[in-house]
Amino acid sequence: MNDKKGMIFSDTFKPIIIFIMMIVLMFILFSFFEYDKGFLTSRNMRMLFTHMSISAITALGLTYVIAVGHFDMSFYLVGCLAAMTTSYLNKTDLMMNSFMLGNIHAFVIPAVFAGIAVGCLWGLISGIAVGIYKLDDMVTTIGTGFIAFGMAYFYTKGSFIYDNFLSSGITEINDAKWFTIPFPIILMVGLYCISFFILSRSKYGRCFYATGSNKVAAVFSGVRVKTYIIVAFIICAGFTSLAAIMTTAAQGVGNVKASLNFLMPAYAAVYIGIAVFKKPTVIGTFFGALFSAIMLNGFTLMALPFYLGDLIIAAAMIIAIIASKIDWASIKRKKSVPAPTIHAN
Amino acid sequence: MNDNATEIENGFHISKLFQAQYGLIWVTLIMMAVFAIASPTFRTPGNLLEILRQSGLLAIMVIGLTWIAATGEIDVSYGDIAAFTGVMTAVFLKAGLSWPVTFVLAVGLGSIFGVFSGILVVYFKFPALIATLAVGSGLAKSIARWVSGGAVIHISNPPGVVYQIVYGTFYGIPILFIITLAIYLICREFQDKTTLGQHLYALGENRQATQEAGINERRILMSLYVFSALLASIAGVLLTAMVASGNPNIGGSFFLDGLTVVFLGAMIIKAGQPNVIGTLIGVIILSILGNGLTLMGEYFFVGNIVKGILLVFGVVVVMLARKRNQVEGKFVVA
Repeated sequence: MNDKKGMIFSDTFKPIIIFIMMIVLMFILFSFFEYDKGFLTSRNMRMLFTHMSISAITALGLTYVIAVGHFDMSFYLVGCLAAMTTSYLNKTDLMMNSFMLGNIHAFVIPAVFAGIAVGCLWGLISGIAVGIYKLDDMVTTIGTGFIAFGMAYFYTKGSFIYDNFLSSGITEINDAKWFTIPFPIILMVGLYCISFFILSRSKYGRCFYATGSNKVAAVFSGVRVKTYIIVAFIICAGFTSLAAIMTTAAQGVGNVKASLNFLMPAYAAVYIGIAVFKKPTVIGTFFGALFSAIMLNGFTLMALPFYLGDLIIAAAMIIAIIASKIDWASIKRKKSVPAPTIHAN
Repeated sequence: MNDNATEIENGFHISKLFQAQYGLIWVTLIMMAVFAIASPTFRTPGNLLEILRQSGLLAIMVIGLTWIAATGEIDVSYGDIAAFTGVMTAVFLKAGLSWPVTFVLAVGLGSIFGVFSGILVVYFKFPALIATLAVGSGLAKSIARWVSGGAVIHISNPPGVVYQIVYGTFYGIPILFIITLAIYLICREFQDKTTLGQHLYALGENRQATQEAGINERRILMSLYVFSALLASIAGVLLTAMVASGNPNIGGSFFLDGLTVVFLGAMIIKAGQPNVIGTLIGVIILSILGNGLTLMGEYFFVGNIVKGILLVFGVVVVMLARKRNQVEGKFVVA
C-alpha cells in the first residue's frame, strides 16, 4: 500500500491515471476511426465540451447528495420547473422593458436566478424531508419531484414558450464566448474548481463525507449532519436548475420536458467516478462525465441513432462498477474475498 | 403488526374501523362520494367497472415491487420492462407468430432483465436504485427503442380469446380484474401463510439478524427481481393486447403510479409495510383518482401533483409506523 517506501503513485493519483489512460484510449480510437468525420477538429471539441457541460454540472450537484450518503430522484424533475420558471419570466413584458446590458436585456439575470431559486426551494423541501424527518430518500424525492413536474405544467398547460427567446438575449447563456471558449464550458470549469476546493480541500468537504460514511459518528464529532444533508440537496437542485436553464437557452424554447433526460447521464457520471475513485469525488465525476461525453460524441459522429445514448452510458456504467467490484488480486489467489461496498449508509 | 392482526381476529368492534390502518379506506370513500356528486358520469356502473378493468394492468405490474420494497430494496425498472415486452410482443406478432408463442417469448425475454438486475444487486452489490435504473431506463428502454426504431408499432386487434381477457366481462365484472384478483389472492396466501413470505419481512426488519438466522438472502432477492420482471413482462403483453400497439416510451407513465400504489398500500392492513392486498387497494384508489379527476375536467398534471403528495404522505405514515414498532430505548441520531 501507501506506506511502502519508493512508491511513486499515491492512491489519489492511481485512479486519475486509470481515467486518463481510458480517455486517451477513447480519443485515439475515435480519431483513428473518424478522422474523416472531423472528431479531432477544434469545432467538434468545442461542441463536445459544451454538450458535456450540461450533464457535468448536473452530475456535480448529484455528487454532493451521494457524498452525504443519500439518493436524489427529484433533481431532473425539479430542473423542468426551474427551466419553465425562467422561460415564463422571459415571456413577460418586464423583460422587454428592461434596459440593455451589452446585447442582453438586464431582466435575463433575475429571471435565471429566479429559476435557480425555485429549484433550490425544492431542494430545501427534499432536504428537510430527508435530513430532519428521516423519510426514505428515494421514494420521498420521487414524490417531491413529481409535484414539481406537475407544477411546471401550470405555466402554459404544457405547451412550448417561444416568446422573446430570440430578442431577450437569454440564448447568450449558451452562445456567448470568451476568447473563443463558449460560456457553458467556463461555467462548468468554474463550478468544478469551486466544488473541488469545497469537497476535497476544505473542512466542509470532510463534513460532507463524514455525514455520508457514518451519521452517528459524525454527530458525535460535532458535524451538523442535518444541515449538511439539506445543503447537499439544495446544491443538487440548484445545479440541475442551472443546467436545465442552459438547455433551454441552447434549444431556444421553453420546454416542460427540458431536463427530463438528465437522470441517466448524471448517475452514470457519478458512479463511473465512484467505480474508479471508490468514493464520490469531484474529479471522479468530472472524468465520468467527460468519458460519457466523448463516447456519446464519438458514436453520434458514427451516425448512431440518438436513443442508443442511454444504452451506451448505462452499459459503460455497469461495466465500470463490475470491474471495480472484482477483486483482481483474489482471483489470482483463488480465494474469495467479499467485495467492498461503496455505500456506507 | 401481528398484535393488530390478532386483535382483529379476536373480536370485531366499531372503533377498530377508525384505526390508522383503515384511514385510507375512509379517504377513498369520501373521495368517491365527492366524485359521485360532482360528476354524473362517474357514478354510472359502467364507469365503476371500467375503473376496475383499468387497475388490473398496473396491479399485475407492481406485485414484485411490493415485495422488493418489503425487503427494503427498490426496483424502478418495472415500467420500462413492461414497455420492452410490449414492443417485443408487437414485433413478434408482426413477424407472424401466434399469440401463445409470442407470449412465452416476450415474457421470457423480459424476465432476462430481472435476472440481470438481480445479479447486479445480489452478486455485485450495486445499490438497488442504480442497478434497476441502469437495467430499466438504460438497457430495457433503449433496446425497445432500438428494436422499434424509436416509433410506436401498431398491430391488428387481438383474436377472440386474448380480446376476451383484456376487454371481456364475466357477469358484468371485467375478466382482467378477476384474473388480477386471483393472482393477488394466491400471492397473499404465499405472503402470509408460508415461511418464505415471512422471510421477506424479516429481511426488511433486520438484514444482519436474517443472515445470522441462516436465511438465504441472496436467493430470495434474486428470485424477487426475476419475479418482478416476470410480472412486469406479463403486464407488458396485456398492455399491447389492450391498446393494439407497442410503445417503447410508455414505461415512464407507470413509474410514479407504481411507487405511489405500493407506498399507499403500505398504509393499509400491515401498518408500515408494503403488502399485496394493500397494493391492490392502492391501485384501485389511484384508478378512482385518475378517473374522477379526468371526468371533472382537470388537466392530467393535477393528477401528477396529487399522486406526488399521496406518495410523500404514504412514506410519512410508513415511517411513523416503523418508528412505533421499533424497540424503545434505542439510540436515535439527533
